[in-house]
Amino acid sequence: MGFMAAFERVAEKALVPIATKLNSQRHIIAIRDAFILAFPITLAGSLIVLLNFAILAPDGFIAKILFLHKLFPNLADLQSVFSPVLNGSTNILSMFIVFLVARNMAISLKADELLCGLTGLSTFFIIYPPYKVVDGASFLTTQWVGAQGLFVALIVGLVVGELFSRLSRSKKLQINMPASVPPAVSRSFKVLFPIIIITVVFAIGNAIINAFYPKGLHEFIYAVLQTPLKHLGTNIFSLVVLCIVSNLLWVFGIHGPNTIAAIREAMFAEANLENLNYAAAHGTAWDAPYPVTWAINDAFANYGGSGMTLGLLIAIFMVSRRKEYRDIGKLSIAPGLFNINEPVIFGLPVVLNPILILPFILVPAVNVIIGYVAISTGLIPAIAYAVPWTTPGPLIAFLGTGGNWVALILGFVCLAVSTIIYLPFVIASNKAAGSGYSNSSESEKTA
Amino acid sequence: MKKLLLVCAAGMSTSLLVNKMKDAAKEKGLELEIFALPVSECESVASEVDAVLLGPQVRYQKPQVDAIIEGRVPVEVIDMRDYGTMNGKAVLEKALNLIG
Repeated sequence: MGFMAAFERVAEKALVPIATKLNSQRHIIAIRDAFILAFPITLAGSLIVLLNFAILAPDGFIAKILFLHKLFPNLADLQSVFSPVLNGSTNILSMFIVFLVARNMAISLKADELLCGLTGLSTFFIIYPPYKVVDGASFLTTQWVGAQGLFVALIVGLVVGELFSRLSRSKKLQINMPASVPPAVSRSFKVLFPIIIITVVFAIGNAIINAFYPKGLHEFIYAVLQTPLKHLGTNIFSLVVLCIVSNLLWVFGIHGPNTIAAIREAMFAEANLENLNYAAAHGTAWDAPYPVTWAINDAFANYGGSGMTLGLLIAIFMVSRRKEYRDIGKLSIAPGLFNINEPVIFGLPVVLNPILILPFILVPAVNVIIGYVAISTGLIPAIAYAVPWTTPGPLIAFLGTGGNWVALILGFVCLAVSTIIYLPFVIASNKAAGSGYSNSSESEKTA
Repeated sequence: MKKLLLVCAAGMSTSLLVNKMKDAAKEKGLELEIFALPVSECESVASEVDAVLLGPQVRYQKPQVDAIIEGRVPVEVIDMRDYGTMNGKAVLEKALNLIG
């Protein structure tokens, strides 16, 4: 127990406070929750792009299996019906994000969330590159409303969230209406001055930036912040490091993916969306611009949940004689198929388990590298389509590549690899039965 | 009717535990409403619950939940072992002690 106790002390002293800070820091929460809330919309867009090419394109994988094009010769014409879906989802992600970040900030600072979100959106367009007039009609470039404007959206959302919430708290800036005025009316008057101040501040700020950097704020932020961070993220080293950090947090019983979500999204969101747009334009994930994204982790190193514990469960069913291991295995297999693995992590437990933590961290890292090698050598296309994280195991690789059969097989190979790595550790933990905190008072099982 | 809220990252694994707790409550003949949410959505129901239980994997978010609840009702982290074994009975017992 000495090693474990020391381990636990490290966790409680060092890691838990860091995780607590990261997760109670309102700017980080605002960003993380904004991406969580926007996710269903990007996901819907992604699924429709996938279906568009899987079913409606003559060489789509479902179309081929079912001979759809023999049956309906004009099926491909339907693609144009669904292609505008991206215009309403990923292509305007920055607009969603700026609204949501400002709104989330207002929630945590107890200000008017809806009006704060709208003020954020308004501000985003105050500093947006101005209209261009062509043939008497005015046009706004779409360049910055999608993925490329993401960082401006984040910054504007945070700054407006802070300013709005603080200013609207000031009694001097409130216009209070008599009680007879309807609440909806007095609500908007209450925050009128804060909104005017923010508008003026950003308008002046925009003018100053344009004077020094005529291409505008969006271009500036993109060049100085977003592009470097994107390049930092989209390489195999960062991917492996993030993967290890995420799983290391789980070893201490802290939700890893959730803790690093804000950082991860900032690094990968643009690359993901560019891959999806590429797939939508070309009808394939082959040669997508960013072969390395976090999607590799989900597609090849996350079966059963963090630590690829589906492999652990299979290993347990194969070799474990410990009754509590098999009990937890039975309890965990159904949720595990949908990548939910808290029963394994806390029940087995993996948390602070001196034997199992090594494969728990090693297995995903190995599988991320396998996925990376397969994509970079051209064995399979990039994982360009977003797939919900509760999709069972190898199907994420299959659907994420747009229905590539080799990816599906590779998914099963990764699962086998994880099982093989887990096997000796399960055998070892059987031999060391009694270690861990699965003893004494908690002996009766309810599973 | 008393309301118990369980929260975790996405409200997925807690919803597994919720089902086990509901079974345990039925066995005891108790009238209880038990439900699960992502911790980020805790605020929306904060005023109507009688206790909030956090999954151990989001125990570091307790300060936030505390800030939302403002001491009005108990906020506790579920024991890791009970959580992992999905021991609905034990978690229910502890929750009942909390709301008294």
